[in-house]
Amino acid sequence: MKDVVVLGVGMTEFGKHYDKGVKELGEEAIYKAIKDANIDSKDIQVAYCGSALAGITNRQAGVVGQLALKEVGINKIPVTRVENACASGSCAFHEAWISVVSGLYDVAIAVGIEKMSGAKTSEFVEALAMQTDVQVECDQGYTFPGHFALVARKHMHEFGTTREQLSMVSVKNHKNGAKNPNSQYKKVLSLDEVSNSRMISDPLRLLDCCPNSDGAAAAIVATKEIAKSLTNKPIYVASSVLASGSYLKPSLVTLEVTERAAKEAYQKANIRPEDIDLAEVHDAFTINEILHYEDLGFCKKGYGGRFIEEGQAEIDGKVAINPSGGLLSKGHPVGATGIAQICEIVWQLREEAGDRQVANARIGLAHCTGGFTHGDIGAGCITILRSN
Amino acid sequence: MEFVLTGSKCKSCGKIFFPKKRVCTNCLSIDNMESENLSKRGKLISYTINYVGTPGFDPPYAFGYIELPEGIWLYSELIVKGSFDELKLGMDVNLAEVETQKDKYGEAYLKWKFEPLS
Repeated sequence: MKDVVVLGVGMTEFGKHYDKGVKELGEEAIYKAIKDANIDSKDIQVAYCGSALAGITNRQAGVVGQLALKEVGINKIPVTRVENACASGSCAFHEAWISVVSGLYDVAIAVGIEKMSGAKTSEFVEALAMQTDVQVECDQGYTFPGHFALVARKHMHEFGTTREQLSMVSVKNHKNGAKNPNSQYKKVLSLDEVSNSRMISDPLRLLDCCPNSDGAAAAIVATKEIAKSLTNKPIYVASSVLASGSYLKPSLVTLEVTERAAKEAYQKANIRPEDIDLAEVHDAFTINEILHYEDLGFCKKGYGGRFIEEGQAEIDGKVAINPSGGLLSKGHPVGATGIAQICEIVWQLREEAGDRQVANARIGLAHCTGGFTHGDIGAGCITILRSN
Repeated sequence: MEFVLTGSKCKSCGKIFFPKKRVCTNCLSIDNMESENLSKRGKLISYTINYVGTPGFDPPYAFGYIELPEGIWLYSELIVKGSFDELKLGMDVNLAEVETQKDKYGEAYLKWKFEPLS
């Protein structure tokens, strides 16, 4: 096994890019990552492109990765699209890491791209609901906000999690996102604004839900030997784990895949949850972030509501959760999200995160879940990065 | 009219599946299933009112996750004749409708609905 370093990262601002398609969004993110890595496009030997909804929320159904990469002079090399619903970007990064850690390649790129703003609300809600077993889930009226509303109601009933605690997650993430130039929303919210926003799926309201976004992100990984001559601030991949569901025993209050993947990721990185300084987690809805505090081991099961209320998830808390603003504020262009999480962690560990910098950040964790079927997450991906 | 949802029961190990399938994921036998009508009565594990739906749904609609005695969990639209306030966690629900529908490509699927038992 080789030691793998994240050599460079780049992303577009997330938001509504009505004037750009997947090709142009990808072009910008890849260009920024190459410049950040201090290499030439010809140095890249293999590429993976995370893209979940292309062809559903826009008409570019295939070869998304090749189209964007060729705009930056990356051609001839193997290019593979990776689809794992909302974890597509994380999984593209995981594949790029595998290609280098295995010794097969020295330099690999992962890019994630999504363009969703052209679709009507009901269309993109359906595009996401199609990341399930369609006939027994989507066709019965399943939506992702609807599913996580079932989770929220159950979590509130079992553990006493409150409406106000859900709102606190959104308020925190918007406060962080307001300090991030790449964020879709750069606006601070009050608890009342979240708690009184329009109902989407009771008890989840509009500001409990991440937005529909366009955007792209890219990350270049390389062996430690290659990185040595290019950077004096190498960020190491300590572990990267991808797991799928067991589909045996449904639970609404635990994402068992997250729990299992996290244990493996901590073990492989030889660390404990207490060692994590910051985490970018999949806060598609406020209740999800509360589940992740518990399932990633930052607090005990059922204590997620208290964890946010006590300020432990703040930038200066026990572990900074979603300093970038997360999906709720930064946005969620599905295929790009997982790689944007890697970008944030790299900037934090290099101490380049400006006003949202986490003090003394040495170890960061990225967490994404993708799809949901038969009581389980389809894909759970966790990557741990460290600066030493 | 009597509605029923029919799954498969493995003749070797007795495991019940829904929807119907050929391979038993428990004992890996193939084409060794018999039809099994599922219980019509189940428990409402959790519910929501969807104010935003996918095309073909008419929000607001009640939606829940139901556990049948066979250990099968199903999502279902819920028929609520009175106020949505009558829905309660853990309440009994009953299969109220099963209809064959076709998606936009002409592929047939079953659409079912449960209703709360007061």
